[in-house]
Amino acid sequence: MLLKNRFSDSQLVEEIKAGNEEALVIMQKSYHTMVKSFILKNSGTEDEVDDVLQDSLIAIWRNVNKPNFSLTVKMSTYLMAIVKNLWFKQLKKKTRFTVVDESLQEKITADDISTDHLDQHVIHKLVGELDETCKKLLSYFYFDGLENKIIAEKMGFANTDTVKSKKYQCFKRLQASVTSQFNKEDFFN
Amino acid sequence: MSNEQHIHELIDQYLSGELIGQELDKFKIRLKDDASFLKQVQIQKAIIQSIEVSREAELRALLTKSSAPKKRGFVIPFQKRTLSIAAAILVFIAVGVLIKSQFPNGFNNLAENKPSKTEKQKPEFKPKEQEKPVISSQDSFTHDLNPPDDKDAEPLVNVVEDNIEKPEKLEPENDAILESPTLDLSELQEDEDVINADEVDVPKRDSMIGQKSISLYVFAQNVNETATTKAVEGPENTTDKKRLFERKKNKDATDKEEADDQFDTDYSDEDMNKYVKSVNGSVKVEFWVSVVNFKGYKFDGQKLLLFDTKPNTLITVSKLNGQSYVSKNGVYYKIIPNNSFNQLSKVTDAEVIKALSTR
Repeated sequence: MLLKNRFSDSQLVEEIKAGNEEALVIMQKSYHTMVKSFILKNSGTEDEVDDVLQDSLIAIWRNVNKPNFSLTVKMSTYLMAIVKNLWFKQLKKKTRFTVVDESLQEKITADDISTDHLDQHVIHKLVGELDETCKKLLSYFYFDGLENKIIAEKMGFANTDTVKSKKYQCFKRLQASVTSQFNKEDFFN
Repeated sequence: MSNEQHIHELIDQYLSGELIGQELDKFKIRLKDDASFLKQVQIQKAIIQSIEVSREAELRALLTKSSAPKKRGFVIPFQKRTLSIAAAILVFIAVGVLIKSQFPNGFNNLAENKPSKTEKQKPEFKPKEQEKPVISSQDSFTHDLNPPDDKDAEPLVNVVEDNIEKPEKLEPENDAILESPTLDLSELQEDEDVINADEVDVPKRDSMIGQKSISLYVFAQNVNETATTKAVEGPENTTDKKRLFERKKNKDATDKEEADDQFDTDYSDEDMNKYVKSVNGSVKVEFWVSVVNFKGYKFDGQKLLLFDTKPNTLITVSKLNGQSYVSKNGVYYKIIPNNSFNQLSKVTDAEVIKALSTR
């Protein structure tokens, strides 16, 4: 039985908005065959199928939590639109023989603020050393884009003010660690 | 909310593109004029990027974990299904060819057709002195190592023949029937052609291990004139009947028990004399072994194929009121003409056994 059958498209959206990661797993299993068929028919390989599907699902995960998101087509259509977009971009890069590592690609705006001179690996290490609560809280806020109300529910905080306060405390703690490293010579590339 | 927290949220809004209007203009001016503010924004941006990368890696790990079993090859790509089906068909054909080679004449035509050309069955050409039932002196190991068509050839494996024990199956030391001085199979099987003892071996395929023709005797009721027929092998007389019972006693435990079950009833001479015997043609009996250890028979009225029955087994074929019977070492079984193989069905009707046991 397909897990997708347990959820309608709107339910999937609600689950993603609620930060239920299981929704991504369900979508992955439900749409894997469809995505695979498309990728393999378009010069792709088995490994690329999983990569493109993961990229697309993560894009959906982030998009759904953006303000004013509304699903106006079927989830499968929306997913395939993202898959096609990502895949054709990738094919284009392939034909140009360029390799682009998108892992550290900027996900936020303000392109005029350069961070190239900062050693991201040092910051990654410090992020990894955060306690679980701070790590989740900052991830929910900055990556997942969950509303403060949802974060409060998920993390058992009293209200949205607590979320804001806790989030600031966590960030400041991290920032202090980073700044201390920033002042050392090895922080700069 | 402290001023620091306000600036922190302002930077968040700028980095996420939510800062607009005059606040954005003010923010940009400060970025140009205040180097420490720029550094703060840069650090905040770098931290947020790092948090995003970390979270994305976490979600990817979750998705990779959930898709891991599929990557291990349980899902056949759609494009490869055709190949899989083709491979399955090839396997199916290969199995069919293998079965065909095992049963070259088919299952249903086995009785009507001669056995495969690889099988030996030329009893007519055997000299008379070899008609005595033969138990192979060549064990199954040496038989395999020395091809029958080139007995002088060197075996594939060096075997010191003296060290090879004769299999009990072929040299049944404990078989009382074979050791019994009172049992002379050559006398009981006068019409027997020859048992091809070389083929009494571990079967690699279904094969005939012996055949014989036995006389058909016809019996009729003395009083009521009701026709009964009975076919027995060899001359039928009181001595033979006694020999039958003697043989029955010496047979292995299973057969003995079965025979005892049927012969539990003591038949008086008066009962036996209700029927008379007469010869009416003959029946050809073939002894087969099956690779799947099949036990049963096939019968077309003139020829009887017996599986899992040794060629030296005392066989009688009887016909009573249109019904045919075969007895193996004194145990009676009902046989019905058939096109496919049936299991032997033991006769339990005392009246029938009494009639068939007429001397």
